[in-house]
Amino acid sequence: MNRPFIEARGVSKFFSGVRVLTDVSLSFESGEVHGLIGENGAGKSTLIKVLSGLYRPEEGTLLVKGEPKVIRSPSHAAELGVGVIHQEFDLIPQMTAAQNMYLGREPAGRLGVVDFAVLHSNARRLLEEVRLSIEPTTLVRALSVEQKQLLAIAKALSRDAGLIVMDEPTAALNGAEIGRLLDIVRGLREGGRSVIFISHHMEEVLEISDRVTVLRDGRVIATRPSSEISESEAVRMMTGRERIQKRLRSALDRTISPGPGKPAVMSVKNLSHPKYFHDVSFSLRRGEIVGMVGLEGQGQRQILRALYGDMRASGAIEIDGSPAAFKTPADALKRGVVFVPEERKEEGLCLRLDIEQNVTLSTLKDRSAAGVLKLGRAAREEVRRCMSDVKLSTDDPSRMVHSLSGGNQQKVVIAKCLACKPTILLFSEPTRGIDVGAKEDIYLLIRALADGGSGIMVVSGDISELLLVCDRILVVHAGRITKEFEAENADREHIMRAMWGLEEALIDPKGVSGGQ
Amino acid sequence: MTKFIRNPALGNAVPITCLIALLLMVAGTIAPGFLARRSLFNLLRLAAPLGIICIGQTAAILSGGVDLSVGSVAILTNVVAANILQGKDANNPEAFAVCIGLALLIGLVNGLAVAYVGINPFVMTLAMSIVIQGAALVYSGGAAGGAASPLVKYMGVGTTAGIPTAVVIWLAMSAGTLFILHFTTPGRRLYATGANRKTARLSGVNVPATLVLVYAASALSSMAAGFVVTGNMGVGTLEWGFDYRLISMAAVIMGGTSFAGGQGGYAGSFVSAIALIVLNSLLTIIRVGEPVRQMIYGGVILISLWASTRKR
Repeated sequence: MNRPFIEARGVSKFFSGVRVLTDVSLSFESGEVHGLIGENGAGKSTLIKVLSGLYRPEEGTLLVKGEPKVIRSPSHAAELGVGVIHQEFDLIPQMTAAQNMYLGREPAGRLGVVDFAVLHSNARRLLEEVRLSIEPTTLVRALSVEQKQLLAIAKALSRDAGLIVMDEPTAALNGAEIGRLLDIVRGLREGGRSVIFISHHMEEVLEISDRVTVLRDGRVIATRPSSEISESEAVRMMTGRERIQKRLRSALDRTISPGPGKPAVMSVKNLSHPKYFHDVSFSLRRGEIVGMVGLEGQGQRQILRALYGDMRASGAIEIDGSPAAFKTPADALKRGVVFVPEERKEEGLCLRLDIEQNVTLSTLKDRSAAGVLKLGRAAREEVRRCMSDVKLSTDDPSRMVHSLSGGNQQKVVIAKCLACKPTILLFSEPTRGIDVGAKEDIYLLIRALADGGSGIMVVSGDISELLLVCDRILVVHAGRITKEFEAENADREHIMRAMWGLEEALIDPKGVSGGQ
Repeated sequence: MTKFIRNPALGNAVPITCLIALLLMVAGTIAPGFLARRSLFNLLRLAAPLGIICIGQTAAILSGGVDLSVGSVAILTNVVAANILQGKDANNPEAFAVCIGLALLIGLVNGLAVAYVGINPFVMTLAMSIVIQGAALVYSGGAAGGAASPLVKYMGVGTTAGIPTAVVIWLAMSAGTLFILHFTTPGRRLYATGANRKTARLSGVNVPATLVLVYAASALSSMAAGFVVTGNMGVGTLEWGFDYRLISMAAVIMGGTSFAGGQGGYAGSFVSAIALIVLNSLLTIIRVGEPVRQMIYGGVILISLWASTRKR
C-alpha cells in the first residue's frame, strides 16, 4: 500500500452551529484515484474546501505526507501540493493558456520581466502531458469546455500537485470526451499522483477509481475498493433512500395519484427558444408532480424559467385552458404560478432583509390598501401561519434571513411562494445543499401541495429525489423532451441512459449489471 | 428596548445621537453661546437642506445605487428659481412649476438610464451632475442673479410657531419619508430591489419602475432643498459653501445605510445630517479651513464604509 499523500483525522466542520462534516477520517494515497460520492449536500464540496484551505475545520487534523498541517488558504494548499479543479475552472478567459497556468508565478528574467520563452516551453511540456494540443498562446476564451478542463489539470500539474481534486469533471463533457479525460486521470495515477474524483455518475466513479468513499449527511458511510462495491449498493448507501421513502409512503397515501382523466392545469405546446430548447410539449395535471431531469445545460432549467415568464420563448402555454405566455414573473404570479429558483441566495431571497419582508414580497398588493401596508396583528399572524406551514424552525418574523440555515432559508422561499396561494408551482433544485431533515419536510410539503390540487414541476439533477417525489419524469436532452417515465416503473439506469441520449447501453457494463 | 435599538431600519441613529451630544458638549465648552436656543435652531436650519437632500440620497443608496447629481440639482434650482422669482411672490407658481419640471426631467433621465439602459448609477449621475452644472452656468451667463420671493425667503429664514420654517419643512418631509420607506408597498419594493435585484424581479417586483421612482424622488428632494437654500441666501448664486454631493453621501453612509443596498434607512441619515452640521460648526469655531474639512468628510465616509464592511 502506498503512503497517504493527505489524510483527514476526525475532521468536523460547523456552519453557524450546524454540523456539516462529522468526524470525517479519510486517507488519499499517492498513486490512487479515490472516488467521492454522495448526494447534494452530503458534504463532498465542504470536504474539498477543507482540503483546499477555503474552510478551516473546527475539529480534527489534516496530515500532509504524514505531517500535521493547518491549511491556511488556497494558495497555501497549492504550496503543499493540493490542486483543486473546480467546476468553474478558475481560468481567466482573456489570458492565454500559458499565462493562466503560471498566473502569479511567471518565470521572470532580469528586472522581473516575464520570460515568455521559458513560460511557453514549460507550458507546452505540461500541455503535452495532458494531451491538450493547443498552442500555449491560445486565449482561454477560445477553448472548448473539454480543453479548459484539461488546461485546468495542466495548471495543477504546473504547481507539481501531489493531489488533484476533480469536482464533477465530466459534468459538461460528452461520451468521447469523458473517455479521453479518464485516460488522463489514469496517466496521473501512473505518475504517482493522488486524485480525488467527484462525480454524480456512479458508473464513471466506479470505473476510474481504486477506492470509493460514500458520504452522507456529512459523515463517511463507507470506504471500499471499487471492485468490491456494486452500483446499487453505493446508491443505497448514498441516499439512505429506503429510509426516507418509507417515511414518505407512510405519511402519505399515494393512492390519490392523479389518473389520466384529471384535467390539465397547464399545457405546453411547441415551446421553443433559439438557444436553449426546442419543441417542448407536455401537460401538467391537477394534483400531479412532474419531474424534469437532464444533464447540466440541456435546457431543463430554461424551460422552467420560460414557463415563469423569466425567459422569452415561442410556442403556446395554456393554464386552465386560457393562454398564459407571461412577459415577466409578475404576470406569472398574477395567474397563480410561482417559482422556486435553484440559487436561493442569488435569486430566491433578500438575505439582508428579515423573514417577514421576504415572505410577503410577492404579495405586497394583497397586504396593503392604497399602497399602505397592513402591519397589524392580523397581518403578523398571517405571516406566522405561512412560516409554520413550511415548518420553519423559528416563529420570529423579524429574524434576518441570512442567520438561518440553508434548509430554513429554502423554506422561507417556499413560504413566499405559498403566500401567493399558487395553483402551479415550479421548483428548480428544491433541496440543493440542505440538510436531510429539511429535505424530508420539503418532499412532504410538495406532496401535500399536489394532493391539495396544485400542479407541480420539479427540475432536479438528483434522480433519486425525482423518483421519490414525482408521478412522472420527463427527460430533457439537448433542449428536447426525449423520454417520459412513470415514476412507479422507472429506474435509475433507464433514466440515466435517456439523459445521456443513449438508447443502447453504452454505459460501463459493470454499472448496468449492478455489480459483478 | 434593546430590540428597538437593534432595529436595522434605525441604522446608526442611536450611536450618532450620542455623538451629537458629545460634539455639543465640546462646542459648548469652547464657546458657551453655542448651546443657546437660537444657535441650536440655527444649526438645525443649516442642517435642513442637507437633511432634505439626504432623503433622495438614502433612497438611491438603499436601491443599490447612488445619486451624485443631488448638489447640482439644488444649485440649478437656486439659479433658475431666483432668476424667475426676481423677488416677487407673483412669480412663485412659475418658479415652482419650472423647477419641479426640471427635477422630474433630471430624475427620470437618471432613473431610465440606470433602470432600463443599465448604466452604472455612479457614472450616470456624475455625468448628469456635470451636465447640470454646465446648464446652470449657461443659464445664468456665468453670473447668477435674481432674488428670492417673500414666500421662498420664509421657507429659508422664516419661523413657524417659533421653529425655523426650513426645519418644519424638513421634519414634515422626513416623516413622509419614514412612512413611505417602512409602511408602504413602494418602500418594501425599494428595500427588496436594493437587497437583491434578481430576487425582487422573480418575486414580482417591477424593479425598473422602482428605480425610476427612486431617482425621480431624489431629484425632487434636491429641488426642495434648493428652494430652502435660495430662501436662506436670498439670491441666486453659483458660489455654494457646501459640496452636497459628498456630504450627503457621508451622512447616509455614516447613518448606517449600506452601499450594498437594502440595508439601513432614513433615521440614521437624518441624525447624521445634524451631526455633520454640528461638526462643521465646531470646526468653524476652532478655525479649521475648508480643505481640512473636506478631508474630514472624506474620512467620515471611509471610516463608515470600513465599519459597515466589518459588520458583515
